Amino acid sequence: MTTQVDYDNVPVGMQLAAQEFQLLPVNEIMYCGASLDFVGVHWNPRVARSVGMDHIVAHGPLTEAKALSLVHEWTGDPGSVVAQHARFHKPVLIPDDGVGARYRIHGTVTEKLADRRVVVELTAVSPQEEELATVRAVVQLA
Amino acid sequence: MPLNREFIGRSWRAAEIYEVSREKLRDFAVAIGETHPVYLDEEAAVKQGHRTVIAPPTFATTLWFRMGNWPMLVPEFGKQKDPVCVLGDQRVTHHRRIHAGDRLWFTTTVRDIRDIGRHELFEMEHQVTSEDGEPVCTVVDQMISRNSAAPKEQRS
Repeated sequence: MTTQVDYDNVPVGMQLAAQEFQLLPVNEIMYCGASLDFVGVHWNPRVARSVGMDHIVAHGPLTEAKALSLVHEWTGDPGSVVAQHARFHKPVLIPDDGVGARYRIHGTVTEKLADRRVVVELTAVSPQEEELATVRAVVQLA
Repeated sequence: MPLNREFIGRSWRAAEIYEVSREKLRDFAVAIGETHPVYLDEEAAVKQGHRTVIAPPTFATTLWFRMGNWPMLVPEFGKQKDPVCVLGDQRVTHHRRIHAGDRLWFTTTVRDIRDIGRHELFEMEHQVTSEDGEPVCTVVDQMISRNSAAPKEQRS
């Protein structure tokens, strides 16, 4: 655990650097293979349509992983996440149109805990400003 | 058809131990778009104070699929091919990092099944422990089983 971020210098309300993400069908198919979650709605447009989705649907934990990457970028240490709570509000649909799904993730330090830990609230927002997912991460600082 | 509520409180442990491989961690990191060297390069991981390469913080959430996603395929559980189950909420507590070379036991307990309108909420707790029984990671998944709630009696 070698984060350089000093707990004492982190105020509540501090914003992490927001990031833009793009998911193409191939990214989703790679995640199917890596996670071994081959539920049809995640890779097969026909199955997705059969349950009322216009396009294949991204795995929630893939967006969760993207959100936590903001924390790693900040602390410099992927070992700094102690716990995370993800809530998936809306399906992330991935059209096969060369553009795919896009969302922006922003994060804010919302609470300082004991043992030099902080809470970071991360939110994935669509280009239409819909809240897609939120992740509350407990992060160990130095 | 509703899920079988007799499963509430039941636990199941995977028959085999899961051995974390360095190449699996690399593939997983690449699939989530992570290029941090602590996932990919042993030397870099050691420099960061880890024993060897570590798993990204969402890795443990996938072990359920590898270990056979009990009880979804148990006929008495009542999960139909249609409607679909959707992950709505996921809580992960890391008791320690997962490293390449770890040998892990995986246990799932059904915590709750209840109606949410026309849908059912199905909560599972997954415990990942070391070969010696040391807690490694706890994952609590809440899935929504769409349109599977028992029909309510019509009130007129």
